Amino acid sequence: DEIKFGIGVAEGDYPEYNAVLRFKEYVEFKTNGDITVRLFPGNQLGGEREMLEQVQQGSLELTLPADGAMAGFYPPMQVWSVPYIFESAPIAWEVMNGPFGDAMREDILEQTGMRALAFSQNGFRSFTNNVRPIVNPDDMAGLKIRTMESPVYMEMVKSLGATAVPISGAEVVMALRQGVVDGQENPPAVVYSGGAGEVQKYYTLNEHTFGLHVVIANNDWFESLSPGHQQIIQDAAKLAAWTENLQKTEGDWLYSRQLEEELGMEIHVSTPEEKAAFRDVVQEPVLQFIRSNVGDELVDELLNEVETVKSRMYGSQ
Amino acid sequence: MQAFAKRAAFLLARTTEILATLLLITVTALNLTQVVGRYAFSIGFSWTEELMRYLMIWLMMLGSVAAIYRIEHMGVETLESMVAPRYAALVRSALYSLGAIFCLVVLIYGWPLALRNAGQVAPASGIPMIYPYLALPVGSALLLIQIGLSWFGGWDEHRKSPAADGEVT
Amino acid sequence: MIWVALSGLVLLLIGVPVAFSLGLAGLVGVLLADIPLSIVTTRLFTGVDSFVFLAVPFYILAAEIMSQGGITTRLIAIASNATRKMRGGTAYANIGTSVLFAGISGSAVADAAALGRVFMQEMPKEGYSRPYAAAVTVASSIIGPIIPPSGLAILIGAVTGVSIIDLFLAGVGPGILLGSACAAIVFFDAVRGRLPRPRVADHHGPRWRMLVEGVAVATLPLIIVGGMVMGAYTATEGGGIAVAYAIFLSVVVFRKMDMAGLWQAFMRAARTSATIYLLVAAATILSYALNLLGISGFVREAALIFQDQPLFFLLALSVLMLILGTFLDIGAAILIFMPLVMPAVITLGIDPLQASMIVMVTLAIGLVTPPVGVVLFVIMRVGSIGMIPLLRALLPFLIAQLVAVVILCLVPEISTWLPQTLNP
Ligand code: NA
Ligand code: NA
Repeated sequence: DEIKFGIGVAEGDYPEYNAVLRFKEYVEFKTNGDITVRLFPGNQLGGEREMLEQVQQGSLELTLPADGAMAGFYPPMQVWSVPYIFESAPIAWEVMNGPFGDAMREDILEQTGMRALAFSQNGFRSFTNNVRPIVNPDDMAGLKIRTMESPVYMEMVKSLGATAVPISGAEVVMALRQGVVDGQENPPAVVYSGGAGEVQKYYTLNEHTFGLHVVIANNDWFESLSPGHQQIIQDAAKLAAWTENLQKTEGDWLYSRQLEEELGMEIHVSTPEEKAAFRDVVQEPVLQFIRSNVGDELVDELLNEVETVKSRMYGSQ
Repeated sequence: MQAFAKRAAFLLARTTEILATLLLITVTALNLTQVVGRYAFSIGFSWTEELMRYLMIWLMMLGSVAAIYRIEHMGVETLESMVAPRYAALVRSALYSLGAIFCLVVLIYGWPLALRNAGQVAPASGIPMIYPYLALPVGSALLLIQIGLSWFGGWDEHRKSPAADGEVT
Repeated sequence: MIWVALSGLVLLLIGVPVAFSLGLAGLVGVLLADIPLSIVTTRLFTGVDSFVFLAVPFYILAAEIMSQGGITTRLIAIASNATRKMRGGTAYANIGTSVLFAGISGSAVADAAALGRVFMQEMPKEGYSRPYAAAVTVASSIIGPIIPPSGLAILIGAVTGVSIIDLFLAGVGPGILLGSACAAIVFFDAVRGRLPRPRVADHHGPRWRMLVEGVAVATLPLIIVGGMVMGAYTATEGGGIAVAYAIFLSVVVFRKMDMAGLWQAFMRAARTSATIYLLVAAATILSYALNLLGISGFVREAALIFQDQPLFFLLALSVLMLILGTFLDIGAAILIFMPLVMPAVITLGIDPLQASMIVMVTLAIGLVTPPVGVVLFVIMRVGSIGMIPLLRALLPFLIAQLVAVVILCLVPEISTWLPQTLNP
């Protein structure tokens, strides 16, 4: 059988595309070609939100939405967007793949009827813009910033004194080019692969949030598979997730350098002090916003889980 | 029957085109508010653009109902001009009935789509997504009704709006 | 894929309205690809839920107001005053008015309809044959969508991501080239003494007044494009400003429009916008289905034939678009084919702006060629003349425009110089 996997990123040597390519190759190899995977990169089937709708309806088997698009279908997803909660990607990996992440995948199935096979790293998100280099939080004042179609990101941008304009990922470059917005926020790999680097001048690696992707499948299709094939799909999703995790982490400097050298962006790497300044401005209001949206319980669970993972990884300090 | 259909078709077209006009006035006002807000008062709105997009979807469906009546949907008039004049209306009815299949599909699947989006809220304006999505089933139902009424009421040329030659493409 | 194309074509040709034809062909594609039909509604919605298309209704509205608000009369007065001493003067004036009108309107049909009413009355009175008058009007009308603002440019920008500002700027050169091509034919006819001298041009009040009004009208495209180039506003906001300016001119300055007239203009623009939106939405269903059926791989392979031969690619593209333009709606052709063509254009190292202009011009020529040339039908109705005499008079103009297309293929700078200079 042929199944369809739609993603936003275009075909090329990019983390997301490589990840779904690994998925495809693994599945086709392990099932001896019983299942073939057809990739639809570059928003061919529509934007993230729309592809999710298609997965829900069953016109698409698999997609890889970012947390922002996912939040429209599953609001608790916003909990991951607490600014500066993950100090490093490995901490986030542990939480995504630990009991907290597993419980959320269960809950996604219950709430939306879609099967979240794995969480992966979209990357640490940072601001680009065309107006001025951003060093401190007050440099953001008055800018018009594109956000994902998710209220929590709008709240974060607003707390910095900028105007948030939610626009679908498929239209970001066009919006920047036409001057609908001054800037946007995304991880370096996405800024590079998505083309925003070609139309933006300044990039500040302030890493305000850790963005996630979800490898998500239509559940009816998944349950129609034999247990053996289900296992293969599940494993392939993990493989895709780890491929993205590693390439995105590596991509933070790899693609930043390419953005600077190839596309002439002005890159500023925030110092720990500058990041702290951003955290002081955004963390509290966004945390409050998330608490009121998804409930204290889930937020506290995540905060505790992060502490647990940290002490497990680094030992108690 | 024919007189009733004629009257009903006209009233439906009139209502929808007035609503579409009011929508266009609103969208224009929102657009200008956005510019004036930015330059005169340095306010950026995040919801104007989103609201304009959703209003345009309603405008698309409602305006299309009126455009059926006014015979303004672009198309080739080969078949109609080939047959004898007294069959022209019949041909047009048949052609629009093919179009009605499309409307029917939009109606059948648009309703559950709207309901499925009932839980979602537009990110910038906070409008429940069911309102923009409702444009599809409501609009396609009205399109079907208008096509049906035109079947019975006829496709008289006088339904065309005066000076309706100004199209964009 | 062949079934999708075939069903779409048959529906179009028998006369099912274009939007429904595209939607139905999309339905066929979705069924063939074995996808649940529910996708149709999702695509219909998200296909037009886009900030780019938002610009379209405002330019329609601005043109609607301008063409009803006494502005056409001013443009004609300016153009005929400039050419009043020349043999064939009114024919030149017809072309010149189209160039000026193009700065307001994004549409060839609007141009032909608005100017056709005037020139089809005036030119025969001066001794032009009716077919010749119609031919000049038709041929010069396609300048409308090339010179900014342009509905076609917005559609291209929307589906390919090319900057609308750059597309607007790129249209100036090709638009003037097309105008010159038409003028060249008039010039030959005039030299051979076939055209009458004009009567004394009609004056609308004093000279200075005409000048002031002319400047006021000509300012509009400068405001729109200039503001966009400076980054002061987006294409959509530029459209809003154009509407405000058009209302100001028509209602306050020229006093040719009252509230009832304005309401009518809004109403017509609302219906037209609705039909174009529906067309766009339906076209996205079709292009979605074509993607599922693997058309992008097909196009990629076809483009390989032209490796290292960009000029031949452009010429082939022109021929393809001329053919498509004759029987497909121009907006629909752009929506379906531009996303497919653009990757090949970039792979071959062609400037997307040059390719876009060639596509726009060749498709626009399709508006004035049989069997489906919308502009032809408009002018046949407005000027009450038959197809065959019109075509005979039109032929030299069409040849001149095809030469212009070849020049556009050979000289990319005509399209790319202005955007590169003003908006680097
Ligand atoms: Na124009
Ligand atoms: Na003309």
